[in-house]
Amino acid sequence: MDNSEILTQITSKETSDSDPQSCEQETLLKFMIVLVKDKKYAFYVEQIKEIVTHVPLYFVPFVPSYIRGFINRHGEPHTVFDLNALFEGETLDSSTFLISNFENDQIAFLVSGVTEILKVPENEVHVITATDEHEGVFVGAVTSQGRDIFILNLPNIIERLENDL
Amino acid sequence: MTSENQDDNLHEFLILNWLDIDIIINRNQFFASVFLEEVDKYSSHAEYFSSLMKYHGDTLPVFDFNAFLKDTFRSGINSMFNIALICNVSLFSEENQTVYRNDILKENTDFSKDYLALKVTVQAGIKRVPLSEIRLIPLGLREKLHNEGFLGCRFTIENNIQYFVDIESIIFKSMQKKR
Repeated sequence: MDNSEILTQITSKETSDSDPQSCEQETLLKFMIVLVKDKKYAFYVEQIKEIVTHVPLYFVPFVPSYIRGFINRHGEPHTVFDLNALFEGETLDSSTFLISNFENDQIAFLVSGVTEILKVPENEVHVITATDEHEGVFVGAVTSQGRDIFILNLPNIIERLENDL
Repeated sequence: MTSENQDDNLHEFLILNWLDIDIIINRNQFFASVFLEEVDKYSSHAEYFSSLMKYHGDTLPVFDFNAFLKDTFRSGINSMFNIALICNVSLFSEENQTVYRNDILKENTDFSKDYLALKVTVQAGIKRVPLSEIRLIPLGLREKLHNEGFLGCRFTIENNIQYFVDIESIIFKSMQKKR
């Protein structure tokens, strides 16, 4: 297969991927699946701008323990949420950060790692009916390899910080 | 001597090195600094006010900024040498001046009505910093940290963070926290 054939194949694949008729009425949602210690969570991919590792984490006083500090991205401080501290009450030992795409605030999330990008038809996103102490911090769940993964409700998580301060 | 330079956006700050964190204070918030060799103890109900010093014949209450930093950053520097920054109380807001008169000055009638001192470590220096390099605190934490006297931060090329603090807010916030 020469390069022109390769390019033809890539082009035809991209065309078919972006062809609305191929999806028919089905909308695909993309999720970034992350590992936080031994649990998986899902972010909408458009909520995450960048993944960074091994950058210094700076202590911030007067904040709840799930705020681990600031990281510096291009001279701008970003508030780091530790999801393990938030949900499990235990700080996470990691140096992988997801930089969020929020316009109004500079926020990052501390995770153990990113495991996959999952494409899921919109009608396969489950609604959460159970109520527990974390009610409101998840918007639903998706299934990957037979396991449900909770989708994080980032606006509600940020609102929780407002209430905790 | 002016501490500002409009052309290159530089402003003078006192930079205190506190382990891996720096604290930067607007140079205009104090007008003198002296080595703090001897202080006398006194009993105050206000947090971090526990000593007094002599300055040009006046008796000044001393706010222990070192102790404040030690508590805030949960780490400390035990330096044998300290300096006192002398602040002019008349530069504080009217409201804070009233609190100061009704609170600290009533505890000791010998205290100067005009000045108070801030005890800091000697690992400090005056430096001109471009204002364009100081960033606001991210929105979600801004109000909380502003209320505690932390107005902004700056990242240095040495990969340190510098917190830009308002000493007036810190002093008066501490006065509200009774021992």
